[in-house]
Amino acid sequence: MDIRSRLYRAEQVGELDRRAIEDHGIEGFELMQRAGSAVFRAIRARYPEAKSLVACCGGGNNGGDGYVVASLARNAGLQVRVIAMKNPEELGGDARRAADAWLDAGGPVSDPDREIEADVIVDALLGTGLDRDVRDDYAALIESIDASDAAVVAVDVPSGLHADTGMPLGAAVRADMTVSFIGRKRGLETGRAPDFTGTLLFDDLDVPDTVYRDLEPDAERLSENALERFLPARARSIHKGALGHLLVCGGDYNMPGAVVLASRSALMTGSGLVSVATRREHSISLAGSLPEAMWADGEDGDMLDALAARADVVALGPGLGTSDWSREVWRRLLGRDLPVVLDADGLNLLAEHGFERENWILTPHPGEAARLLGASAGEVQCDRFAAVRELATRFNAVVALKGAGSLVADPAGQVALCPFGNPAMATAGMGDVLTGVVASLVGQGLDLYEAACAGVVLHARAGDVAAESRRGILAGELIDALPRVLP
Amino acid sequence: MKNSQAREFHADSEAAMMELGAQLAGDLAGGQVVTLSGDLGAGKTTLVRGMLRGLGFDGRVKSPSYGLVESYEVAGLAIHHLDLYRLGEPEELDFIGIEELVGPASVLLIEWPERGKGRLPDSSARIRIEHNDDHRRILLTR
Repeated sequence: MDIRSRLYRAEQVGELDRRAIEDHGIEGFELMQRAGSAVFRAIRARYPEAKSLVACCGGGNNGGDGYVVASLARNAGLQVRVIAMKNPEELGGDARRAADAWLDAGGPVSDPDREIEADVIVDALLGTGLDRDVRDDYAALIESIDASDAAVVAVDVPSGLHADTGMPLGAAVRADMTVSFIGRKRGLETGRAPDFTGTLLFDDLDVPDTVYRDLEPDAERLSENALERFLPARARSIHKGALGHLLVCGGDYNMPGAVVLASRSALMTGSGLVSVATRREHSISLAGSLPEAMWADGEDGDMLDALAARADVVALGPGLGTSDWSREVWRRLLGRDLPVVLDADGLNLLAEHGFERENWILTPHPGEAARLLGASAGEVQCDRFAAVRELATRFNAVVALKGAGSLVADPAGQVALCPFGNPAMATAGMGDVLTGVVASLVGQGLDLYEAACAGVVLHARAGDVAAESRRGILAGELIDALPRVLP
Repeated sequence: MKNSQAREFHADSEAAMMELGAQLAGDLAGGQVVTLSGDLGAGKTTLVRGMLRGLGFDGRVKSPSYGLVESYEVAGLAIHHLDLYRLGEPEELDFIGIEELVGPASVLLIEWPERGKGRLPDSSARIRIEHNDDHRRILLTR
């Protein structure tokens, strides 16, 4: 795995630091200098016009990084002030050295104040070690930082944000940019983290590759090349039979659209054949809206059997509802020996009844995940990594937990994070599209974990292409963008 | 078939199906075999649930998805609820010993009887459910 795609827990990044210092002889102070330089370079690149800077420095090494940035900025001619949460005389180790360098050069230090006037504020208050709510004095300063008009740049992690979960610990700095070091922290790109990190940059501080050896990352950060990696080029002689026959089942009364979205997504993703089993009247009324699919009466048991016997994969759940019909087809199809992608009401029925099987993919949003776990959506979001792993183990399934920074897990505990996507995708029908995309990839021969990983990336990238700078996009527009991101 | 007579009922909701089931339960007696036919979601299982409730069973009524049969002891009867939808071949019925389920103190309620053609005991009543949206027409033939 590429260093850039490795995601670590904060405690593992601490171990990477330790190895760089103890095993590779890079002085801690040297790493601090490199970190400060990386932050200052990023500030210069993004805010070249900035004339004044305030560095808010905490009492630990994160604060030390802040003193380094302050010194570099002052040397470059900016007007710089340090707000110190701890008397520099009381700092220890490398942070003390960085603070001494600042003081020796005559740099000004002040206590926290209510109003901060500057072009750029550097947030060097709290680092990755934080695991409890921030102290009141820190929370007050965080409030002042948020209230100022300055651009805010966070050092390693926005202060107050839990680096493992992406959740604020009481209060957290809302940065415009975060420069993170040595190892990517897994919590900075999922859940609520994007609200706090702003643009996230990563710098490995030039530590040697050997630092990373034999330390198994907690998760993988998927890159755009996930698509090329998992989706092989097509042979010229390929025929539709080799591209998978997908059976989409859903579309109870009042919810006909979902099966259209899922089926159309699957066809655009490259499925050879798509059959739709839906309510009898929908199979007639909807056929014209997507003539490329085969529309079948999903109330006819023999018809459903015949279709399932021919299908390679089932997408079950879009608009499925919870009626007698929904329950009956749900049970029938889950009982068959076919890979299933289960979504929406298919998941709600699973939460209600349970079902033991393997060879399936669940694609819950946090609310559905919460019902499956018997928890609240808030609890799921508090630790998305733990939630997705628990679901994968409990249901013996590959699970894609949707929402900003979608996570994919398999029952063995392997997890991948999708860093793509945007808030314009928070519209109706997006989940149905993902179901169609993922099921299509299963039909095309990808294994379940690959299909889920490639599917979330494809879905999110198409969403990015379709959204550009728009506020919201329709699910159908995302489907139309799929060909633009498919390899 | 001897002297067949058909009755017709209507139900417009799940609650009405339950109610009808409870009403029909009054006619259930040991030794009977009742088949239930109709499309997916027609309400066969709801009707069975209604019958069991009518007999006084207050536990959870599951669909017999794995083992083809769910059995209940209630009102001095053994009620065997069979769902033959997943039956591959009618011959598979021999493996579950369907003949042994029939007896003077037992009732068989069989969904998807067409799957077991030729291997099922003679039915004492046949129920067919036809549906259109929420409206159900229930035909009972004895």
